[in-house]
Amino acid sequence: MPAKRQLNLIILFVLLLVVGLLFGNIILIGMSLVPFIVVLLGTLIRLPERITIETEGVPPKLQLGKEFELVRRVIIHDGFGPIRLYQKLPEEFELISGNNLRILWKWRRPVMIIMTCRIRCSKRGNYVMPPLEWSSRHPLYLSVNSGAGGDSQGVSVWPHLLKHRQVRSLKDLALSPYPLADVSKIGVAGTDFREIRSYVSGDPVKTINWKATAHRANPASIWPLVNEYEREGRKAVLIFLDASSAVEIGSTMENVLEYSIEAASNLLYYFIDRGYRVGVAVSGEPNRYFYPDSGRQQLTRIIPQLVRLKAGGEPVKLLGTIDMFRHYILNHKPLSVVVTTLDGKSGEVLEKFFDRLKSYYSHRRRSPIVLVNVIGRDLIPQPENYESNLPVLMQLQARPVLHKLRRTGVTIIEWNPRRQSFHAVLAKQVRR
Amino acid sequence: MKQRKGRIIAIQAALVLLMSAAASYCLVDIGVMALLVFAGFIVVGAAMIFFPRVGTLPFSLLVFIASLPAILSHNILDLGTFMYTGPGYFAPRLTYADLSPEISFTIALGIGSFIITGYLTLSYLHSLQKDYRAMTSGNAEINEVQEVMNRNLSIIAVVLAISVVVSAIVVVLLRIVQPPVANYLKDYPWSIIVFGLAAVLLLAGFLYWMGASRQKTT
Repeated sequence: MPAKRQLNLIILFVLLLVVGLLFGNIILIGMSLVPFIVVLLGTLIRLPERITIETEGVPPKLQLGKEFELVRRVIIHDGFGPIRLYQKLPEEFELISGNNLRILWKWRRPVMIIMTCRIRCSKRGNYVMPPLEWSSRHPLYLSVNSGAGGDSQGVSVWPHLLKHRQVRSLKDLALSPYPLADVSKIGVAGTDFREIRSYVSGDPVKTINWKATAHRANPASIWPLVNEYEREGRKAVLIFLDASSAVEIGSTMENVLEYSIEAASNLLYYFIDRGYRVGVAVSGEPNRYFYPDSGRQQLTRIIPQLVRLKAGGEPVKLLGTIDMFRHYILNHKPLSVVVTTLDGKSGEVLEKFFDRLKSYYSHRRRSPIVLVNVIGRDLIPQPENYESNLPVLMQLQARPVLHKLRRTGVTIIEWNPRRQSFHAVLAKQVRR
Repeated sequence: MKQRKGRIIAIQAALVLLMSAAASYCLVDIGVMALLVFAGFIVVGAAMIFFPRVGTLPFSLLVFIASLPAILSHNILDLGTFMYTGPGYFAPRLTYADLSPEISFTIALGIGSFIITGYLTLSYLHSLQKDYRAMTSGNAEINEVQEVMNRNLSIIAVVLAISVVVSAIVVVLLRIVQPPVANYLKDYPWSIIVFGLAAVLLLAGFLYWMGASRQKTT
């Protein structure tokens, strides 16, 4: 579209010409011709346009921290002049090498440019890689043109998961030394009916018992009921993930929630890979429940939900997650792994939570409850010197709760994401 | 980066100096007064260079107004000349030639062309400088930016040179052709309307084509 300068030049031409004609002044008429000829010559030049863009190298799914190479092949067919190409990146993406901004001059011949950027994503989530933006300008600033091209592709960034080889190397070792619910062999759901229970997210629709649902339904609450069958499989594991607002400790990129999700995903992957039946309860806004199941299908069912997860809700909602799995805990005595932080302001809620959880297990032996305490105090940015003692204060604040939980028999795994990877922590635990 | 910026500033400074000199010469001839006027123009020009937000229009307009009496002293038509004698009073006495030193047609034409070309050049340099700042503040590679700037500068220089040469040729032709054509057309008064109307319509058509029909959105 025409730029302001074109209008200015035309106005200048008309003004000088009118004054020149009015006074019969050849010099002014001659002066008026200069901007006129600039505009006239400008009309002979077409600014760069007709641009085709092809995209390569954007994986639909990748792990957190993994790099990928985005390649945009740009062909500019027509025009003459400067052109600017800009690949906008989502805020959470980091440019490792290459350049996402190119400025070049195009002569009359078509030209092909390959833009290569090496990118790393530092936060899990679902993102859209926007199309390549281009803007061209007339060499004499008489007009501008802009647009966007290339595919805008979705990228799902998953938490960093344990490498398969690492898991395989840890033979015959469980995370917890209390295999209460170990069953004979690995297998899928059997045919022996166990119970009818309420439907939870992730249950196959075919398991819904429509007759029972209709029988139990009343105008106040209609909720599907599903048939539960005895499953042939190994030990059951329940992962309780705290995604309440209390875990929002740290920066946008590095916070307790991010690391809690990483820990929960790794635990899920670890147990699923070893044939366990794993269920997940997420306390947040809203609470999410995934009934224990085995197989990789469970992994692909839960992890995309965790990728989308955002912190929210009161910490007290964590207590509600136990109620949802109350019957399951009573029947199966699964290993319960709670992923949260003691650095938040939810100490009292956590004490209540562990008391309630323990009440469902036998009092005669140590309860199979594990707390993964994600240490968040080192994730808080410290802009001022006097705030350097904040981590120590937070540690002192969390210590009484920690001791109390230890005394009640909860196995505590402390993970400081700043100092070690979760792989290292997990490997250390299973080697014990 | 500094080298490129310095080069643009050097060109701007040279243009300011030359345009100021030309305008002050048009206004008060050579002397102490001319030096004072020259210094005044330089101050405005320096403000334009060091404070890009000021823009090139104030300096260029000042220079143009200063050189206008000298240019208008070569009018063909006599619309009457005026002298300011007090608030609200103009007396038809003073000629444009009285307002400025006597400057020949060729020099006045040269100064006029130089001032209009200087204004356009300063305006383009201003835009280039703005673009350069915007591009270097991003992650653009400095080599690419410099290459684009160099080529753009060359294109602008070529186009402006062509414009000045063509307009000079047209003026010379007008100067040669004007007296005999005017004498000839005196015998055919209606032709002025025919040619004038045709010229105005052509010009209006061109302006419409420039403004409206070429608008494209993407």
